Amino acid sequence: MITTPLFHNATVRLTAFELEPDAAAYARWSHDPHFLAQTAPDAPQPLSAWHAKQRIEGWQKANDDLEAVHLAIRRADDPGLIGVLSLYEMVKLFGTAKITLGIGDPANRGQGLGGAALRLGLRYAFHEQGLHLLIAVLGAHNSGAARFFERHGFRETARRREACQYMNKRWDELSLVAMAAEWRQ
Amino acid sequence: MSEMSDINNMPDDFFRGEKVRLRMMTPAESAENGVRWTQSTEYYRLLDDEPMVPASLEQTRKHVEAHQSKTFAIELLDPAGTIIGFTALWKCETPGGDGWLAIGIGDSEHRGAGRGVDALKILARYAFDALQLHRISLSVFEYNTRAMRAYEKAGFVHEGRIPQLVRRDGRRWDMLLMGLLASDWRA
Repeated sequence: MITTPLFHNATVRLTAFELEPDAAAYARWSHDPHFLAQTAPDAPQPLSAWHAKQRIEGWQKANDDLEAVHLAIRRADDPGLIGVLSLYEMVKLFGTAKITLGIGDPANRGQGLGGAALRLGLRYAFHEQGLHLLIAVLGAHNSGAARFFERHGFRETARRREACQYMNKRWDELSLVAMAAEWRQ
Repeated sequence: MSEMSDINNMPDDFFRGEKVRLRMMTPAESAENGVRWTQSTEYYRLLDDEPMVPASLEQTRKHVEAHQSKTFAIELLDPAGTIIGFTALWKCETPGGDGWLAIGIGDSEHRGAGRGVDALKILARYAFDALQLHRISLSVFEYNTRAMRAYEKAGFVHEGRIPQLVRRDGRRWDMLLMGLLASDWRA
């Protein structure tokens, strides 16, 4: 419904980034290569707060240029950054985008916060950005993420054999797809 | 001494197949042939998902120069020197990595005679033996059945699809993904 808030529900909010406090949190998470392997395509780097600020500024610029939508995930009742949700490689002509979602601190996982954020993100992608199709690209080593997306209506449609390298092993690269037509709130 | 004699005995036909050979294409050749081949909108729509916009030679030259890839001209062996298409590898600089492939036979009269498959086999040898890639990837529109059969003949394996990714001619089409591992090729 038009009146239903886009960016918050009972447990989480999706917001813009606040450079100073958010950069400190993101820099801490970046020291865990498992977190970055899920959410950033580049080689993992242990960032300083200064580097993290640059990365967040890059996201803000991409948002301003309408190339992507990078959003901060926060608890409904707390200002701290707990994760990042990104719609990237958006092709508005075809209504498609890739999606990633990461909760930075393992202590914040397994409580339904990521799922609450993804539900907001899907509604936003399909009903506000008008997208037709979302693709989550994951390494097969990331089985928790694959199950997470599948619980929210994504299904595996492609598996590129041995296309990822991670922790000195080769892994398949999975594409999981959610279609607007099949999505239900 | 055996290593020396291996080098001295290297075949000079590394980039030559049974019907075609590959050699690097100059930006000028890419532009001139690109403009000529895309007089056929069928050629363009089989190759690229961006909506087609007619371009001058100069616009095409600039576009070609802006795109980084190892682009080869596909030349007939007989008559020697006739360029009939192109093939290219992207993201292929990392040994042990995953390169992406594109190929197009520009003139329709040169299609359907196994020349594309021949070019793919030369490119695979280059990718695996010279660049040490672990795999080659490609995407192909579901409506491009001729290309799909050529990829299958060259040993590429179906790896799934992104459903309804591309919109053209009033409907949506799947984008199929295919891959060739070094271990597939060497088997």
